[in-house]
Amino acid sequence: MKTLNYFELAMADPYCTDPDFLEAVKNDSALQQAVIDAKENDKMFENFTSDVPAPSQMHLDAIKAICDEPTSSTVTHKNKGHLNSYKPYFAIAASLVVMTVSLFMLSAQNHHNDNLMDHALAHTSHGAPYAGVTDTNPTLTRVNQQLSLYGASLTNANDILWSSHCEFQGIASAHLVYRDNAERINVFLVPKSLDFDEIKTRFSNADFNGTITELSSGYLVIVAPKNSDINSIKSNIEGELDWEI
Amino acid sequence: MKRDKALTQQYEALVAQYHMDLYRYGFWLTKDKQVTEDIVQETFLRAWRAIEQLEDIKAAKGWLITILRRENARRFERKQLSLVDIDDYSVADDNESQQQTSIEHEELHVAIDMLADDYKEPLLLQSMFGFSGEEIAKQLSLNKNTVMTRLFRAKKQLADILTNHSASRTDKS
Repeated sequence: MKTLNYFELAMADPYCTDPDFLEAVKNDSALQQAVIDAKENDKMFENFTSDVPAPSQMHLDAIKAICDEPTSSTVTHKNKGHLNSYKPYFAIAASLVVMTVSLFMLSAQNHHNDNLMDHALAHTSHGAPYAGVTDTNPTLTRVNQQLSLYGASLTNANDILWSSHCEFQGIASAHLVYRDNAERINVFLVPKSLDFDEIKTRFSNADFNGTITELSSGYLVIVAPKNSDINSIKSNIEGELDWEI
Repeated sequence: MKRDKALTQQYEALVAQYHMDLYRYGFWLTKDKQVTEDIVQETFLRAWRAIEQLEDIKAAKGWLITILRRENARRFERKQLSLVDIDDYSVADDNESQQQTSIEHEELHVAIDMLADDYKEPLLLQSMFGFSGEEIAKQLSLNKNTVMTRLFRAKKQLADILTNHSASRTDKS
């Protein structure tokens, strides 16, 4: 199969980060335009495919109820009568599993941390290599589809580069990456399913400043690089967010 | 009990994070809401039953997509036909600009339907999940060059179909 030329590659993947491709784009205005056109077309396609019929309530309820069923390990235990000849090996294996799980649980408890600020900073630092690096520029419809899980919505998604979910202590939370000039701002909507031991409205580490706004349904957490105007960002997002403020 | 709770929380996090993406992906593969709900439900059921095998939460997206693609393939093994109701695409609008948009949407629906699955799947994975060429290649067990070529051809084919439809519409008017 022949390799695509740069114009074909621009159409196939306008977000391609191959250094040779980026160099070619830099030096060719026609190729730059091809990349812009391809991004617009991709955006149009994404908008179009976002528009699907809403799933039925029965389906949503069924998906939620699935975790009431036994997992495969529970099913395996029920059938252990067929496996008598392997009992000694299973006993050893089971002990190892119990040990591993216990160690894991102990380890998890030792690192248990109900500090919302540290979670937010850790998510931002650990997520930095991938969160928002590929600019997916989600539409407002797409963002609000994701936020609807938390009962929240936004009136504007123009500066949102990336939108997904993450976990705070196992609780799904919304994770948005905003553009602020050349900087990326991490925004989390954390539902009030968890009681955090400590909430500080302002926090920071060596690289980032953060703010937490407590709302009736959850916490709006913003983490921005030190050189960003976090107050202005906070004010804008609060103005665009509908989460029973 | 703690372990059960942790697994349940992990499952709920998977649902919160990936359900709508899988549902949209399933819908564009099957073009049938009921079939989509069935395969997505089966996907999460299989995922739940095997949730202890999921060692890295970051691998969950690819894992779920793989399960969903298998469920979709099983549909054809069971020889169930997916029917497309033409009424789904006919939208009556009084407003002329809305009518125009509806026609364009209908054409895009048709154009996507006309894509072979080999072309459609990389396109959907790129658009819906933001997968890179490498990630699509890994997901579909293809090499990256093949994926990029298929993406290019799929997009070109969509553009050509839309251009042809527009031209024939202009001729008729």
